Amino acid sequence: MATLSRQSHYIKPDSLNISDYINGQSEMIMPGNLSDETLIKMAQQGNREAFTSLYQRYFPTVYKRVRYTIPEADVEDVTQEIFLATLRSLKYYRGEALFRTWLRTLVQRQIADFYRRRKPAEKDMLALEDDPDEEELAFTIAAPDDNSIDDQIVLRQALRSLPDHYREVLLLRIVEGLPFQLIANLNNHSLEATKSLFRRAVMALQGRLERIGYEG
Amino acid sequence: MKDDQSTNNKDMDDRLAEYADHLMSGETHGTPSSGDAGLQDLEHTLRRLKTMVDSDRPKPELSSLLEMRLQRAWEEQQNRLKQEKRGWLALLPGWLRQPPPVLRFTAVAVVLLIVVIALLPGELPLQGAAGQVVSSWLPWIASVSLVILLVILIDTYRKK
Repeated sequence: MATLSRQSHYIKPDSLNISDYINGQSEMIMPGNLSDETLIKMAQQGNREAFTSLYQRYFPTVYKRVRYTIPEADVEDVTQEIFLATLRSLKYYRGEALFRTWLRTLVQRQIADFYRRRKPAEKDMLALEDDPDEEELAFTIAAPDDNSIDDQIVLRQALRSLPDHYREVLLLRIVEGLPFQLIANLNNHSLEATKSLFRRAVMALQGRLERIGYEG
Repeated sequence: MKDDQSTNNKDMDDRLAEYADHLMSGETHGTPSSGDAGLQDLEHTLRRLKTMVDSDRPKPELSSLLEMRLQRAWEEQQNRLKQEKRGWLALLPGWLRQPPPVLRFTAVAVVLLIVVIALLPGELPLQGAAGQVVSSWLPWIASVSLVILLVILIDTYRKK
């Protein structure tokens, strides 16, 4: 009966009146069901739960993006800084772009800031050098499958060492799951050029893996 | 010859993209694979990458820790907003309450300029009635500007 009652009170996210939600009159709506844009509006009006939902929704993707771009030791700090920056900038979001696009720009800016704070030449060195934290990570996880963890470490290093445009197209397709057409639109490229860039990125990754000595 | 290479590359682009689409669809069986050895290597690399991305999950403790810190930052931001709404700053428009860095820098530069001009010895070379008024009021304008600047600086420092 409880389930039936809940179902009968369920309001489609599209028909949600935000002020009702904030005033507690639409308690049956779970923030997790709402669109990004609705959650943003709610967060802009002071609803903390809405912001937490956005965080929970995007944390895994942002975390992976950061992890495949900068050294392991700084991943936690940079990820935190990204979400703090999101919180600070929330009031400036006007809905002109999709939230995920806006967030991606913010992530890229924070990563660029991270490397700007260091010497530019350090970037390539950081990406290529053996990351002591990676080794520690492999050790502390105490792997049921040591080979797979070694593979992951080598793959992450190879991915980090790729030129930005190659890494970006791989992350957009494989981490964020964006279709090629959407990636093409984002970068103002043709679909053919995007597919070509993708193939060259995979080839470059393969080259890096061979150079590191990976025998997947 | 060049055309052949270009056609071959385009064919590889399409087939690898198709393979990536298939991987992303979540189907692990029956993935179409080409007979081309070069392309098979790329497919293999892509498959390894996808496996890593799928198995690479952030630790739950890290997620919870960041969530807690964000909640604290949220509370601090909300308190700051409430204070701003209550204080005299609420009377000012948003762009003046939280001026962009360029405006802030310009304002400080203008105030300092006024102060320096006011401290210059001798009469200002200003003509006419308006010139006379500016000359006689300049020390007052400089003093008031300086006081306003100090109040804003103290207010900003206090908030930090």
